[in-house]
Amino acid sequence: MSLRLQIVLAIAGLILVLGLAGTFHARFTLSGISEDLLEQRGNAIASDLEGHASELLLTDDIYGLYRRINSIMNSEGDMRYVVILGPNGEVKASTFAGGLPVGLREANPVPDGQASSTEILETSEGSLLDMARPVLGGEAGVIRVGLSRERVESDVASLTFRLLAITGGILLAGLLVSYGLATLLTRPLSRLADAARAVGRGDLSRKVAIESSDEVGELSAAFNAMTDQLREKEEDRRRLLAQVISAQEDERKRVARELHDEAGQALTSLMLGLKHLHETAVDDTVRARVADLRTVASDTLELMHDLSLDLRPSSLDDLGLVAALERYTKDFGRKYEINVDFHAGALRERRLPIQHEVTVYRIVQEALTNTARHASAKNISVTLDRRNGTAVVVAEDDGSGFDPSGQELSPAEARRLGIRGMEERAALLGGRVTIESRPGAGTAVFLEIPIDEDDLT
Amino acid sequence: MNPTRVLIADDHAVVRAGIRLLIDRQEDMEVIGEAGDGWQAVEQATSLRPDLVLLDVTMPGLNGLEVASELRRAVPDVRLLVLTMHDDEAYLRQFLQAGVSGYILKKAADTELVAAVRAVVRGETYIYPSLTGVLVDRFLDKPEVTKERGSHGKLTARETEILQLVAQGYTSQQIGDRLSITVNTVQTHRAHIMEKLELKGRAELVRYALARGLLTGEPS
Repeated sequence: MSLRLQIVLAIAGLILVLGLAGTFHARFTLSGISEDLLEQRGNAIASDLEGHASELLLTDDIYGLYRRINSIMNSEGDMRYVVILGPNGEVKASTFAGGLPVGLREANPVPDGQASSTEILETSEGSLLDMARPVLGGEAGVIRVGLSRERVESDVASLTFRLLAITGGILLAGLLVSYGLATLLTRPLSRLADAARAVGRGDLSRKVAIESSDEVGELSAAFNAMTDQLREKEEDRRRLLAQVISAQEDERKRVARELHDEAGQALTSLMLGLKHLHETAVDDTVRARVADLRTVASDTLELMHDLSLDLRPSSLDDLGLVAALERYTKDFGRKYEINVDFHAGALRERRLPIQHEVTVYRIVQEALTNTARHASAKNISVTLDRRNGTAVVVAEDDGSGFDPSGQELSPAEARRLGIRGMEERAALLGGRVTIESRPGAGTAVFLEIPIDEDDLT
Repeated sequence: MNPTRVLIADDHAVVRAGIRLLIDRQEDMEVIGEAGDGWQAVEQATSLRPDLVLLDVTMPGLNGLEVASELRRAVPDVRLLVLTMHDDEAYLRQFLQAGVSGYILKKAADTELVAAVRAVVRGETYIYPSLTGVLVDRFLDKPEVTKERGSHGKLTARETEILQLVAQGYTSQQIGDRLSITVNTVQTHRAHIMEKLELKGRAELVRYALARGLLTGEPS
């Protein structure tokens, strides 16, 4: 759930709870007060009537009783009925035209010793407050007054409705305000999240604008500082990687030269010496022994030569990339029985800076080795050319291919590691490696390295 | 007949000593001098006028190739035989262009040197057997793709455009972006092109485009 939704829901919930609680409380209070007022009024009317009725009852002045109850009926709007019962429960006077409704007489009995009794009656004509008041302790009869509770109920309902409407209004306003607030609050966070994703993808130049001095602003500043440090670290790593690679290349070059020149020459002279011994020796066993030694020296020379070539072919330094790749692709094709077609275009005539040449050579080596290991290809094309200010190298096979975007199994994982190495090497010279491959449709490794016309020799 | 007079140019004294032993044992040849670097080699070859200079590739001062070029110019009648560790055809090609008469490897020095010296002195060219492929390549030149093949005339304008971009080393994605078509469409087109032109791989495709003059400028 988004932060924005959480904020909006929290505020809406709060308003709703407050509004409903307030409404309930007000409704409860008002209903109580109104009920009390109604009861007091009923009591006042009944007690007033008692004062007058006691004498009328004693004198059995039925006419007087009717006049009294009719005048009460007319003066009080919410008066529903007035009934005066005799001591034995007989009706002395009543505002009901056709006799008492069933059950009214029995309802609301006054317990002994009480001055009055109140009861709420639910009738077909609505809710009523029935007051019973004995006259002269019940000796003279009982006065029954019925007041409608409609007003009370409608007042409470209308108050409830108004309070609910106000709550609704506040809720709406609260939703709008909280939505705006949440947006205001989460927008910089979303921007930060975007930036963090970009940084995660490797775009370390990404900055976020600091728009406030609050916590979010603080977070943005910390984020920018982190990105800066990451960038420094990344630059350090790059520098270090460049140093490691160049040290490794220098070392390989040195060892290859040493093997090729010093050890190779020593073995050559050894072989020449053995040849001389072979020709001059008179003893046949010595000659045979010398021949054996010659084979050992020859094999060792071969081994050293291959090792030297493997470490770093001297042709790469002496004759350049094209010659070295020609040699490499030819040897590679022979070794793995894959047809390797090498084409060097405009770069055949000019030499790139040695660092570029070594990088291209190593990446082609890696690409071809990958093909030999995983692709089961029959044909590989390696093309080397210049396009505008860029050296473009493509190594393409017709092998099994793979899904370059997918999560792969372990051999393909190893392959991806090889790809990562190629990318790193290319990036050191501002170049990039692109892999295009589909399962069953071969793999093409594209290498683009920017070159400066002035650096060509 | 006078013995063949040989000058050894090699920066390794032990190797020179070994060669000298070997050559001096032959009745028809003798070592008349040794040079430890390129400059000495040129100097001695010019002053001693040997019949043959045995030339190492890697030497301080002038390298073998520079010495060869220099001697071709200064003493054209002196024959040059390269004796080297480098079994690389690219080296051989360069030396052949510089005008040497022989090229053998040190790993076969004990078995082939004497024969090579004799052959070169006779006026023949002596190349280490596994490297002779270069000569054949040179003779045949590169396999030509310019000659009429396939039904190239039937390439559509769009196919020609794609052929051009593929040959220039653009990725399928880049081509798709340029022409506003999908990568799949690019690859389908490309497969058609290869089929129509009977081309086997990218390198052949590039050579074809080159021969057709499709790589001279940026595509429109």
